[in-house]
Amino acid sequence: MEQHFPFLFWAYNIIWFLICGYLLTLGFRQRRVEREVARLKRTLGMGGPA
Amino acid sequence: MLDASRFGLPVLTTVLAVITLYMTFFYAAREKVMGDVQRIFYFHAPAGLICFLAFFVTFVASIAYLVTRKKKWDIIGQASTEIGLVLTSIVLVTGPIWARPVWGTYWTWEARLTTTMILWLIYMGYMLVRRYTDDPDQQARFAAVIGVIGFLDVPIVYWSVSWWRGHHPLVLKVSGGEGLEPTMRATFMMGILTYLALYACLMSMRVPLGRAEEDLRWLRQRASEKTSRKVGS
Repeated sequence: MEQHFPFLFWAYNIIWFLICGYLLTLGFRQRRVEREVARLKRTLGMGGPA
Repeated sequence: MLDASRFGLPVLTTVLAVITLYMTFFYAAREKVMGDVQRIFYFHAPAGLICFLAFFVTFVASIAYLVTRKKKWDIIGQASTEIGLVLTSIVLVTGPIWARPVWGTYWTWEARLTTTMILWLIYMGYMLVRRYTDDPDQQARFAAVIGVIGFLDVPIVYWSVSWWRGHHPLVLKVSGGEGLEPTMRATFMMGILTYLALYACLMSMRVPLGRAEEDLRWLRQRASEKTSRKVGS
């Protein structure tokens, strides 16, 4: 019976890659939105949306 | 002091992932025919089950949006679809990696694989349809319709193995067979729990981001109205 460790190795690494990639994307989007909201609030001279 | 509401779910998910990894590699018995490559199953199959849950949440949120037209349902539906797509991608990538040594091919147009690929394409459509119009209400309405109709594929994916008798193994019910060995079953259950925590954790991050994007859209609209008034006067 062959053990096929490279397949196991790549399967688990790809899972981490996909999850970490998605988490990073969420982080980037969150920071971009926060920056843009702060900039627009300054432009509009207001406290926040209703 | 650590904020429990902010760090609780990520910490829980990490702890569960470490336990599942330990159980996958050191606790679960080695499968007699496939050998160690079968251990992919403990992260592949639970991802498939929790992606069904994610698309069920999208289905419920889509119906709620179409009935109430409240933006919060669209935000929940969008968040759940995005996470469901990540989980379906895990299923679609790890499945072929398991299939290569076991079936001798990465991909075959077998019923479970084909219907899962269709599921992924449907929910990609849910995300992409929003780019075809600038009207936010229309975006949400179109997506919600796909969220409702697209869910019809979930039971088809689930029962495809029984209906079309493909190569894909039955996971939850083995008719006339012994089913999963106890250590394998425990590891599989822990995998489901881990993905459930991961789903909850990602939702707790993605839904507030959706709300923030909605605030941003509102602010942009206000800024654009202000600019138009200045130009007009």
